[in-house]
Amino acid sequence: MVYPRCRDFLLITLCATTVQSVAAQTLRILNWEDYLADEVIAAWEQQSGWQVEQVFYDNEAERDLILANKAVRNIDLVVIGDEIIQRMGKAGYLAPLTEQYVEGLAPIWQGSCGDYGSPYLWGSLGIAYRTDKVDQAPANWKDLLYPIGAWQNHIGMIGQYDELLGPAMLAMSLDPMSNDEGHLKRAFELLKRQSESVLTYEYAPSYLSVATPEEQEELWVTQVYSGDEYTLNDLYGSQVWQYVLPEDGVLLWLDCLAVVASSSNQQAAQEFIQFLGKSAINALDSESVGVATPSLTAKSLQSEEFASDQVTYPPADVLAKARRYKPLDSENIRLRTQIKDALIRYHDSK
Amino acid sequence: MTLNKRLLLIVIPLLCIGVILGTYGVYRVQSKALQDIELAKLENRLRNVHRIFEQEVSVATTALSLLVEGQTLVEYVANSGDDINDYIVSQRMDRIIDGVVGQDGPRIIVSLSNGVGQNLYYYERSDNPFSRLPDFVLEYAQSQFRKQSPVASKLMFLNGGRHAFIHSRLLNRYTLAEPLVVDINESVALTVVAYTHRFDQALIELERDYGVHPQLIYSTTTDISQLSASMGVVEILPNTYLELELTEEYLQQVLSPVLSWLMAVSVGFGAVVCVALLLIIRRFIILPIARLDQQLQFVMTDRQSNIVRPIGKDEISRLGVKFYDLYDQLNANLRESHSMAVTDALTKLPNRTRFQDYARKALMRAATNGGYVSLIYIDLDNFKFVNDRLGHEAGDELLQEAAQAFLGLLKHDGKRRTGSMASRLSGDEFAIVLSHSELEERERISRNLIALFDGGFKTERYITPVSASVGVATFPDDGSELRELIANADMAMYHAKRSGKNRYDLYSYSIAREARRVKLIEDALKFVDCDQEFSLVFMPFMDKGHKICGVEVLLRWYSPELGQIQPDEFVPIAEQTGTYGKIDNWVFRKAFSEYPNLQEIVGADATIAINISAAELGQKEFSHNLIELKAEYGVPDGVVELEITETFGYFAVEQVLDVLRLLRDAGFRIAIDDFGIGYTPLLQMIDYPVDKVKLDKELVSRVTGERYRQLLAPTVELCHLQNIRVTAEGVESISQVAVLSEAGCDFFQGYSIATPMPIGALKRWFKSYVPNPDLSRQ
Repeated sequence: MVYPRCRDFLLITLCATTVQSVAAQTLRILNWEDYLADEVIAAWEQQSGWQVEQVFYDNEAERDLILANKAVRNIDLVVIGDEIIQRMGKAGYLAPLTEQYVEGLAPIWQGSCGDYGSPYLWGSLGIAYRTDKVDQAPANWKDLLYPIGAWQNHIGMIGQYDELLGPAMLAMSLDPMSNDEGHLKRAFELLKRQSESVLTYEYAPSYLSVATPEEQEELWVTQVYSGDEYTLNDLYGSQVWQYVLPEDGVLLWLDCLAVVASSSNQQAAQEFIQFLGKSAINALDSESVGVATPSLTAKSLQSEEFASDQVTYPPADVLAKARRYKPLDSENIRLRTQIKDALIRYHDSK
Repeated sequence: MTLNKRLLLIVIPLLCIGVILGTYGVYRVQSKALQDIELAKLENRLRNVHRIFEQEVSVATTALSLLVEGQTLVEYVANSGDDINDYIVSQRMDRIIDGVVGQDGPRIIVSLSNGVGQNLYYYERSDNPFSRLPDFVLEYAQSQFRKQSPVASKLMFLNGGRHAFIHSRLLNRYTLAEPLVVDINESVALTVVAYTHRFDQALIELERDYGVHPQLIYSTTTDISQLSASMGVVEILPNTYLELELTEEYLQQVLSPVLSWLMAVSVGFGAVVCVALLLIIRRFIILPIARLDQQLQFVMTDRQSNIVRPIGKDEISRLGVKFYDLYDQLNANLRESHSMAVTDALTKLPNRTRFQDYARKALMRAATNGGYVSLIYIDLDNFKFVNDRLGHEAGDELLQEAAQAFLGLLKHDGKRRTGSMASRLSGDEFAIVLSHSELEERERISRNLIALFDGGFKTERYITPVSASVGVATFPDDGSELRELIANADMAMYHAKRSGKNRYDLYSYSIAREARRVKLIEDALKFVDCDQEFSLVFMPFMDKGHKICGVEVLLRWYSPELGQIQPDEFVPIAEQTGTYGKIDNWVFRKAFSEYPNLQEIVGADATIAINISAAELGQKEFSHNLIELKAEYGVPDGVVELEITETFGYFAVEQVLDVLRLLRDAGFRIAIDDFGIGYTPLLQMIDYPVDKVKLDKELVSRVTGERYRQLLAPTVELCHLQNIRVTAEGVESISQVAVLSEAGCDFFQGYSIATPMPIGALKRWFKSYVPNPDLSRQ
């Protein structure tokens, strides 16, 4: 299990850094891996004279616990999903962000980050697969949730409450954001059945980066966020991974940049956010990490190849049918969390 | 073999009993031990279950402690109402609980409730994400408020045999410390429920294994020591006890394999011991006995002369040794007595038994290998005379020396022969078994035997007038069986005796015939009807003047079976068989009764001469009888003349002389018959009470011959000098009469004078008799 180790590592790092006196001024950002271009960081550093340090997470729940942990003091910025940012901000973990710094924001994303964040990048939840291992390419969530026998123990899922339940619901043609207990129960049953074919509930890039070459060969089909396929192919060293948008329901997410309430560098943090919101920077950053930008202006600055990528920028009709991650009520979250925990316990007990 | 059977009958039951008792004893001990072990095992199990329970319970208490100490709850309580915290706290709770219980931990419920029974926060970690907060949780929290107890815990009994441990603490909502005063408004109850599913599983397993439902008992008064020995108890919580009883069924079930095993072992062991014991006893006790028995059997059936003398110090060997020695001794004794049984004590010769045995064997050898076997029977003549006259000592000495003589003769017999054995059969009878290859050897031996007695037999102290009568029968000529040969040798010997003694006779058919005849006569004599068969004839004799002076009474016998039998044939037989008494008696009766007639015929002074056996003279009754008869018939004295044959030699015996004197005194006259050819020494005649001497026919013919004529007169004179008359018997001719009468003979008797005639004929003859010396009989 990577995530307890990750968590411990993070905690230790964070606690450790509290007692350390900082030589140069450092801005610490809690972020996904491969989610902030080195060139962008370099540019900012040069411009501002601040150092940027990234502290990585690969699990949203973990990120949330870190933010809620009063013992943690040295995080300045956080990349956080739009479905939970308002809640976390309201709970006092994020500093209010008064301005929106993104130019040419597409209307769809307006106000998504609420009072506490600025839109950063957006994408979809989909399926990546090994073209060299899989005979029939997965086309939808059903393929993943009702897997064929050949994929037994070769499937990867993201062990988070929305990433598990959303697709499960979609595979049953249900509303992925439903809080109907009956639906959730069915989803739970489906996931339990599917878990027999699941190799891991760890986030695929993390799993593969620590797996042995033999273990790597075992993961054929996995749930990922769009853009992860580049990371996976980089890890593998060849273009074996392919990303596909499921036909039975595309889930769209938006990441926001937010300032951590307990940060002592809030001014600099805001400035960095502003910097990142610049179209040119955004465009560069977006293309560099392979994830879509919410800014139309920034998009127009991107390469033809990138801007026309159907996976990164799904066509309008796909977008029309796609669903957004909605903020859920606490009861729903709690229930889904319990389902996730029970499922993972169920899987691990086999 | 009865010892074997006995052994089996004793050993097996005893062993069975012993084994059964032993097994039972072991079983009792074992079952007690097993029971104790089971109880110990049970208690161990219960302690294990207790441990499991404690672990699960400690989850609740630990989780609660962590929650209280950690900031999670603080934040929650402080920010209660903020719904995002619900999710955050749940995630945190999950991590804490994971740390305490691990991934596969039990179902845990965490509930935060307020003083009025409202649930503020509910977290459940289980495999059913949809479960609701059970009612008992809030109820328990409420009861805690009521009881005002800051810390409480309880074991909840749920349906389906499941249990849950509920642990609850009241906290001040601001300080999150234990409240000093429980204020409903200011306090919250933090309740953790741990479902003890591993404990429940353990209870199910206990029930499955022990067949009895374990009891959870709440009791403040239970004293563990009071519980029965078959009850396992463990205190899982203060005043809460887990009890399990070891049922009879369970113990039976545990014990039965032990029992079966024990029985199998005991049976097996018993069988092994039994077999071993039997084998050992057989080998070391029965076998030696059987061997001894077999040895004895061999000895009894003559396969061995004695048992093999055992070596060894054990009882059976000692028994065997004793038997060996005893048997050896017995054998020696037996040989000795056997030897004594076959040996004649006096002469040391083999006795009759041995003789027969030896003879049998000799015959068998001869039958197989050929050759002759002769039985030579020897009877000592006149032995009785020696015994009577010289005494038994002399008789014994005679027998001993005769025996030695026989042995010596056989030993020194120069000619080669196969084998011989002399034996004493009885009395004065001896026998020699002679195995020889040439027939004439038997005669040679017989001749030598006779020769031993030439001139009498000389012993150390005596010279005895003893001779031998020898009879010989030879295998295969004279018989094929011993019995036959013995009978024939005996017959031959008797023939020799009858024929004059001091001679040997070889068995022949004529001897047999003679013996048969003798037997016939003997038998006829036994049953003779005297009046019918006997008749008297009378032979007159004359004196010098040719006057008939008297008659000699002679007996004639006509047997219906045998016809006419001559007196010289049957008289000796009668004398030997002792029937002569009867004959004599009849003769005298008849003669006495005829006396008047004779007197009438011959004259008033007729003499009647009657022959008597010298043997009878030995018996006093005879003489008395005779005297009585004479008196009975009124025969005058001097009439009857008793003629006694000389040859017996009885005259030497004093007893006989006494009888003769008695008879003479009673009026009888005594005459010695057949004088001249016997043993009587002339000089002894002086003593004899004799009136007349009758010269034997042979003597008469001899002395009337030229050669011995001159002896006649002196002989007659000798007699005359002793007042003894002389009669000449067997006078054949006138010239003889002349000679004899010239020599002085007083009387003459012979066939030329007159033949014996019955009374009727006598009468007739007498009428025509003319005492003419010149007349010779027609």
